[in-house]
Amino acid sequence: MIKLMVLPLGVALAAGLGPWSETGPTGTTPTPRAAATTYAVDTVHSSGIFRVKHAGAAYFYGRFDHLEGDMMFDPEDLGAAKLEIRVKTESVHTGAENRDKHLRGSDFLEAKQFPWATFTSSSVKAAGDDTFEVTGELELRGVKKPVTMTARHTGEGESRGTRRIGFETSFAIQRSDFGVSYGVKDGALGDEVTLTFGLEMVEKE
Amino acid sequence: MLDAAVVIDPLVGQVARGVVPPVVVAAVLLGVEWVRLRRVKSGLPGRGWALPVAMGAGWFAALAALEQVPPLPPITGIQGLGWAVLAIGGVASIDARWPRSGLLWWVGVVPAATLATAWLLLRRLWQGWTATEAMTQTGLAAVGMMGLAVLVEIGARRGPGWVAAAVLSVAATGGALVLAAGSALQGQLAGALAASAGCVAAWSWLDGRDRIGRGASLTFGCALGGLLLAGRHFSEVEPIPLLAIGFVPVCAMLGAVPRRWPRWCRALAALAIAALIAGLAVAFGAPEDPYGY
Repeated sequence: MIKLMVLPLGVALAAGLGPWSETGPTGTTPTPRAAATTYAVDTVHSSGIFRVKHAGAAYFYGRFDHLEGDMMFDPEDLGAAKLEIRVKTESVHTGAENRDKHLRGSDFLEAKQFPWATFTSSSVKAAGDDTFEVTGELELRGVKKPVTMTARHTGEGESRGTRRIGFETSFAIQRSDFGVSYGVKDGALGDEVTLTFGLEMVEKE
Repeated sequence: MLDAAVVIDPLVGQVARGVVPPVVVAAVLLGVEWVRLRRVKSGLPGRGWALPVAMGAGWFAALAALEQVPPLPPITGIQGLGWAVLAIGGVASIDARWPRSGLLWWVGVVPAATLATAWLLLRRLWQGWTATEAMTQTGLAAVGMMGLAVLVEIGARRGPGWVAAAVLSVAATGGALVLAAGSALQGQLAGALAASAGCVAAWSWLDGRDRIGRGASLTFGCALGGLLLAGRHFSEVEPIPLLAIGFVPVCAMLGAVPRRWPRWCRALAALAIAALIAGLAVAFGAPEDPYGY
């Protein structure tokens, strides 16, 4: 399960406000806030993939087929932005059935004991045009570690009568930090895992 | 400077981390006991204290070498099993050194130890179970471990000490091969248990008087029983091979039957039957090359 709090920074910057703004541009008058909008992860149009190096030679890629989560943000207040993403560990697929089974088992994800991996944001900061630095806590296999990632606002649009906004982020973790250390000592499988998420968030009613 | 991962073949490295720590720990502890026995010629109180702690601490050392020292409180079921087996080995060692009544052991210590082990192993699964399922599964797991410990104890009492330990080693080796089909870590840990039991077998054979006692039986029952349960619940290993491996220690009892056979014949018969059952379990339980990807 991953919780991310992300804000469309461009909107906030256009309004002359930062996520840290509790007051108006003059620093004296409180700025009226727009009502926070909540979004849900479009589970069909969102993707989660990972890569890890095998035998020190090449990267192979896998995916998580089941993501869900929620986001809340107020365009006028980045500090109110929140994103939670939850990844179902059982949904891991790499194109090899035996490997998938192995990944779900005790050597890696322990999917029976830990059915979800979760990211929960704690702060969002502007990091440039349409990009945000998102800090939060990643819980994987029962271990919680702080993670910082850069999320890019990839666009906005409408489909089936609902407003959608998109973000993409890619960040690396050391899996041994989370107790997933199978094959690390032997160099059979890399310690660093790069996770990439493309998230389409659907505005809730 | 060359990286160890480059010099040592990965497979050799994995096996070494599972086997060497139990052997080293057992060698140290049994060495201490050997020195003690050399000083105290006869009338030895508290014999067998080193066997359960050699099993428990040796197996825990392998877990630490294969992964890392498990955190406290433990996070995963295997980590919980690691701490449980270490604690049981310690308690059993104290019991062997300063024995208390059998009633306290079998009615108090054994149920408490097996229930605690089962809970530490399965507690993460409780979230997906109803209260009834959680109680039933945990209770059955505890009963299974208890049964395994009792069978080992009965077998150890009826046969030569080294035979019982050797049979346990065979059972754990079979468990290693079956479990490895679902989880390399669980297989390695069963291999580590086989190494521990093998050291105990060697010690019992050399000493001739030291044998598997109730403490070592309980430690082994919780360790192997816990691993087999982990294989079933966490890695979906087929149940029949796991049951066969779990009850291989019954064969230790066969070593004493028929009693008219010479002692070495009974020993060989016990080992042969144990090896046969373990081999069948491996043949049916280990699919073709689970890591062939």
